[in-house]
Amino acid sequence: MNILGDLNNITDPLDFKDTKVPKLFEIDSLLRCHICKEFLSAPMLTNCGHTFCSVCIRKYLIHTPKCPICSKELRESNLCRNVLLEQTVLSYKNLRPDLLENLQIPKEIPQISNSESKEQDVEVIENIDDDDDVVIIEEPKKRKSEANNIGQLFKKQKEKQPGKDKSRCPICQKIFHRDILEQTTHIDTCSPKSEHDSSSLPNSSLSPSSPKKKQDLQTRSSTSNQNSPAPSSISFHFQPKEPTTDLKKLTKLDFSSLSNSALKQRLTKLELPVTGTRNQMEARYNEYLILWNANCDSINPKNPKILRKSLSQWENSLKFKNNSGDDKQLDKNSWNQLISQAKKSALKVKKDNKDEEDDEKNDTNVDLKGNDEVQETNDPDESFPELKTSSQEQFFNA
Amino acid sequence: MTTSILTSTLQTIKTNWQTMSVRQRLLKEYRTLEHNNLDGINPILTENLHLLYADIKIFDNELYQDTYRVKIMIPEQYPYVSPVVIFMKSTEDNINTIPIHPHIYSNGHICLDLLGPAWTPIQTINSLLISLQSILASNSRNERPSDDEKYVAKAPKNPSKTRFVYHDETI
Repeated sequence: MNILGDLNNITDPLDFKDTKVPKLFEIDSLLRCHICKEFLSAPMLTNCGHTFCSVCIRKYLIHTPKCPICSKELRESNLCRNVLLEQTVLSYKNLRPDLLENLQIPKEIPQISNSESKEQDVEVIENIDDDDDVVIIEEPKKRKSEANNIGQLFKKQKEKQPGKDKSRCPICQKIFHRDILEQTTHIDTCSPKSEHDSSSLPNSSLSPSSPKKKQDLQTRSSTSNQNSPAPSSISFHFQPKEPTTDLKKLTKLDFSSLSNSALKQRLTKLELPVTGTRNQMEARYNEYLILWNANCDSINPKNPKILRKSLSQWENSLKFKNNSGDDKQLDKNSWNQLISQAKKSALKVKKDNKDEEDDEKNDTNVDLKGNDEVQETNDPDESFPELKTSSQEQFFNA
Repeated sequence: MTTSILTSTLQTIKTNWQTMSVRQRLLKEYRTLEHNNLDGINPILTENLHLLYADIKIFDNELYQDTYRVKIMIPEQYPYVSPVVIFMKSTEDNINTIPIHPHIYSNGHICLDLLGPAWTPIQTINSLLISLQSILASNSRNERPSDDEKYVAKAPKNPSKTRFVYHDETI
């Protein structure tokens, strides 16, 4: 079971806590549903002003017709689509990996050699002094020993910066003697190499020549080149697709006044299976109702085939749970990873006297280790006896 | 033969969004718990995703000098259904007492509306633990519930089967 992958796929606002902009934590958590803690999918606005995923809030309202946040009375019919928010979430989800990548604080602090750090010092001083005078910087006696370094530095600087009587052509970025730029028709004839260069024109003309800025501009233009899908998605957001097919919402059925055959007709109309007991068919319809109606709320609804697939997965999971428990346990490696992460500040894992069953389970684990995965899947069933016999049954019968 | 059937079932689970969402939410919550590192609350994870413990310490209340341990069991329907929480003893770690509180029975069951009808999916394990800590910290009555003996004698093993009457809003 490749659950390690799942662990890595989990996104959480905390991802931003260790970046250069930890405040992004806020927006990352604001764009998430309070119920599932995932990014809002087909967000629905309640009449009390709160927002949840369409699926999440619809499921909740079946049991409790109240807003989960403020407990005000709320019915499914009060829910309202929030298209702008959905577009915002989509756009942010797109952006998020880039943000994380670019804002990462490098894990290993690069070792700065002595000469480099001194160079940095000098640069700071040079920025403070508006004069370009080399002599001023060389004056401090302490730095005499580093004169060589400084000399080297200014050689570099001179190479990078255009001299007093030279300046950079605002269009092609090449350095020319001022006379050429002012008196000849260079600017008239000069043509930018690419559109991106011309787009960076105003910036470069304002601040002539700091090499770093130039680099920035270059990287920016190059990244915008790489992310060619970005512009297209922007245009998509400005012109949101309305569902092309007529997606009519399903209505709740009054099962008590519905005969078996009528229910089957309904199901076949929706291309759903008509197998199983009456209860199973009713549950199937109700689950599909939620999936379908939530799908109608989305700005780009999925194909009904996908809905039917997730419905059948939902049913399979129910069967599986009822028969032989489920995968409440992660595989050992990934758990150990998670636990060791969690244990950094906490105590070791403790077992209590009540969990003698746990000990038994461990014993069986040892026995099974040599065998294949068939038996491994059996043990989560035993590992959680108390809940399984109590709450779980109760809820699934309901 | 059996192996292939089982692996195919395993694949179904892996892609099942419902189980996945419960698990994902839990993993996120555990991460938050660890990150928040709440004062006086020490969560103890187990190998079972749906079971954890937490040691709770109370500050500034003479009634509660010990460390108390709660066992938190998370049902499949989480977060639509509240976790099952009970106070417990542990001989191994010298946690010998169940806190004396007018809403906590001597078998560890807790009469708290948050664990019943007042639960909403926006609550988290984090917020639940803080609530537990605060109902202890704010209590000044050194007594068990009035019907303690009666309740403990025939209480179900799982407190979620009990229908508590939440009559006291003051504590």
